[in-house]
Amino acid sequence: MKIKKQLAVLLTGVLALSTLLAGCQGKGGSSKSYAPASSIDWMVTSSPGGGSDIFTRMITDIMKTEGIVDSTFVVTNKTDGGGEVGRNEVANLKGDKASNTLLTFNSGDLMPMVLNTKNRSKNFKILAVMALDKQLIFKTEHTKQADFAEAIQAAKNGETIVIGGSKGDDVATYEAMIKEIGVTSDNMKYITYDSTSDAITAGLGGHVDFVISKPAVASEYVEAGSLIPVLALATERYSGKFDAPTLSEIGDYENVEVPVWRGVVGPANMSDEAVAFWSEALKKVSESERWKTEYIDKYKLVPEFKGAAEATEYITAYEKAYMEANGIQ
Amino acid sequence: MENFELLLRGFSVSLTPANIGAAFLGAILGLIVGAMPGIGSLAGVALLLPLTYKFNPTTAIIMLGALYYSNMYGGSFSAILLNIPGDSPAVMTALDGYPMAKKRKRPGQALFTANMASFIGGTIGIIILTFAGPALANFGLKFGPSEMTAVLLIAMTSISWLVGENPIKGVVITMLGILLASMGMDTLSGSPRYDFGNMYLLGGIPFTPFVIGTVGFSQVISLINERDVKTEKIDAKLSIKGSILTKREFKRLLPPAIRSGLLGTFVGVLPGAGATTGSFMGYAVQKRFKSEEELGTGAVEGIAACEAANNAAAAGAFAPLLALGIPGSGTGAVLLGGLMMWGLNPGPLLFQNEPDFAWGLISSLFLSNILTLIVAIGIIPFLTKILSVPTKYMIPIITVVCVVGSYSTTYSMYGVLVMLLSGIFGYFMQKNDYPTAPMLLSFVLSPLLESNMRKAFIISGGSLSIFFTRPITLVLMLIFLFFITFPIIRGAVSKAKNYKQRSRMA
Amino acid sequence: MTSSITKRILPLIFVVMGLIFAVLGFTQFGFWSDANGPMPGFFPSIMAIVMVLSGIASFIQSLKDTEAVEYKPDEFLVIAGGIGIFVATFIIGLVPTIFLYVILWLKLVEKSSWKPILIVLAIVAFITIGVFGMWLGIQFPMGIFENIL
Repeated sequence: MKIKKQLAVLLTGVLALSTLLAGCQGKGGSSKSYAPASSIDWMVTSSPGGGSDIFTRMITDIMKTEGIVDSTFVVTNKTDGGGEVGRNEVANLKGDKASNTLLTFNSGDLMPMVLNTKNRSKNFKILAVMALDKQLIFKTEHTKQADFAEAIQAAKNGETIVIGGSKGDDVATYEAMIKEIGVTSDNMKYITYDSTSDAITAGLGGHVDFVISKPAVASEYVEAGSLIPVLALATERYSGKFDAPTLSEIGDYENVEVPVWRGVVGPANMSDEAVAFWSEALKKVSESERWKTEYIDKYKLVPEFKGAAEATEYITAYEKAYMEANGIQ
Repeated sequence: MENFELLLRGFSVSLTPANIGAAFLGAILGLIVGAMPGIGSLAGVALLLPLTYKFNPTTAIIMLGALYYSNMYGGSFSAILLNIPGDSPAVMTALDGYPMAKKRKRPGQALFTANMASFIGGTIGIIILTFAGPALANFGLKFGPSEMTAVLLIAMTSISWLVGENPIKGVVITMLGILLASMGMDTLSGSPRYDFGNMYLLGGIPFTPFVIGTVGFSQVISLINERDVKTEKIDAKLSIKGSILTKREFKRLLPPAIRSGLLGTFVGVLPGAGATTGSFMGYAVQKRFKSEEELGTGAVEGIAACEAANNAAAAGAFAPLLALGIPGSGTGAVLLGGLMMWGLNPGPLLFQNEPDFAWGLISSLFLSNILTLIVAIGIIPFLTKILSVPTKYMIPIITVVCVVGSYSTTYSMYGVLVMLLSGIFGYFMQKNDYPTAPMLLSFVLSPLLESNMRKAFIISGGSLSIFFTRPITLVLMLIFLFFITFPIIRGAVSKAKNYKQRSRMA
Repeated sequence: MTSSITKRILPLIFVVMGLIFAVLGFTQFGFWSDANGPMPGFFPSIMAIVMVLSGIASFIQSLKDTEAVEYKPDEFLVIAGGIGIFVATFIIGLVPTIFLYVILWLKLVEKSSWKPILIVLAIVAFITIGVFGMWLGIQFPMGIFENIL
């Protein structure tokens, strides 16, 4: 009879579905040891082709080719709300997804996040810091001052000096610097460009007096002689073509350094075992030859790996300092 | 000329079978991707970049160049056939392209015009790039915030031509575009504006879904009224032969194409201005010249002006990219990243250190230009078939394309929401006789204008003098003031003439 | 369905919007600083004021405008379709929604037979899954399925 047949089909369907659900449930359940799911979601909160994207894809690539992890990585670029939507989403993930989702997180992401939203680093499980970057100040052929000490002097005398740079971390470093050398932002001005290369363009055209930039982007220009490093915003000098004095060397100042860090985090609900796993996996990436030559050296970064515990401490301290400096609760 | 010799050497590099094949492949892929609404050249290049990894650097770069270039061609296809611009530079193409296809029933000719103009504009751009690339790039450097402000002010005056019969409505809608564009993060101050506490609005309103909605989806809404109208079999032969323009029309398209080609190349060199700005300016300039048919009704001149400009701007953008390592736009940044991945570092040293590569790339642009033209013309009959699909099937298909395209620009449903809301809004605008083109133009230009103006003021310390003491700025400001005052003066003069005549007759 | 009300309401909406933006601009974002010139609120506030003024002018104009606007009910159907896709995506994901939409639209609104529906489905599938999904590698939302799997 027709009804019996339909009923049979229905029951089989229900059986199959429940088996499937049970199966899914059992797979990544709360067992003591963690094994990554076959497909891992990795969220990047900026567009494809950019710095964070290159960073992420390099890591996933190395993980695959060096056999560190078997899973397939699905990299999603979610740029809504300047990245805040993506960060918020990852912070709030629960269940299995929480242990199988990663997020690329940099100092440049943290700053607008705490400034403009209620999201904080404690809403994530911090897995690792993979690299550090520092800024330098450069002059061009149009710059009137011979070095930065002259520029500071000029600013203190009431002349206007204009520095161009990118948004986010460059701004923070600039603010820390002018505080240390004791000039106002009215005399030593800062113009925020959308990207460092825009700022460099302005510098090359003589529209800004100095340019603040990280080594990677400025590299070509330094080689060509169009940009000359005059100040290293770090605790020690760079070597090679980026050799320039630090603040303490050009006057009676303390060195200023607001390091730029690139890290990887997971949702707050990520299990401890998963955290340990990923932290270890990322460590292996940082020790690989490919990482060193194809990423760190190429982009002139500082290879500095921090595991989960160290990175958490580092980033929390960074966040606290930033929030205090900007009067955020 | 030394550059010419180098160029010839470059040709010998690029004219190997492998490279020609790569260019061909890149041209086709770029055309398809460019035609998809929502995937502009930025996303298109970014998404197709991995495909080039398989090849050796020179071949890969050639393929990349072809991709980038043909993207510009492809954007006009959906603009002309469906009134949905494939990417932002194609917005202006739709203004005349779609009427020519639909109302004048000459889709083949519209596509042909677009392709020829793209070719001419692109060729002019590449030639200028060849002989004056580095010099142009250096000239572009001189354009700082105050110069750009002046340039953009001139560009904004062109909005007045798009306003139509009701200037008051035109002003309202232009302001609306400006306000919508100001929502989101303000780079210069680092703080958000007009986000109303909403996380999504922190990033502002994304342009592409906004355009797709305002122009495309609102279009679909009104299409539903046309489905009962029998889709007349397009009489014009759906063959390539049937799409060729008459000699007269070909003559008509040359002046706008050449003008826009020159203008567009230059605009492409300027920092922050790209193919979109180029096409807007091309169209605006055309408004000041005579067109045989009125612009906006399907005029050959309209299509030619903007298509030539946007391809020329794409070529122009290579100048600062190759010579100075400065990506003029997001797309440029992706290209730059791609180039760097192969260890080729654009910048002041590129032409010295890697001449084979640099000139190989430039010569390949010529190559891709020609190849894309051939492919594009070849598929015209195929494309025009799309128009004979009954409207009732087009509605769901276009709706789906709008949705998927908007989704892919933001990788989230936010884009779809923006698209839907803009579409509904655009629909109401059109019904109530508000022109939407000024809003799109002001949306694109005003953020650039505002940011450059503010930067200029920061440098000058709040003083207006910067706009009148720097030589280039001064010249541009005078042109701008001339453009604004000229219509007023002309109006006053003709009024005076009329008065004189009347008093004579009395 | 005709209406001249919208012709009047629209300018008023613009005026209100302009006022909101102008007030926010003046009060929250700062107007002019001596050292740096325009602040974030400068430009939008001025444009907003222009919008308010032109909005008022447009409103006055609309009072003299006797031509009514024609809205056809079918047009709202298209809008409803679009909204439907948006909402349904959160439940069953984008790709299934699109298929469902095509089938429902062509069946109910256009009352077509199955053959054209299948052809359109094929085209749509090619564009969505083929071009955007597989080739360009864009992940589409899966709705509640995301949490189950």
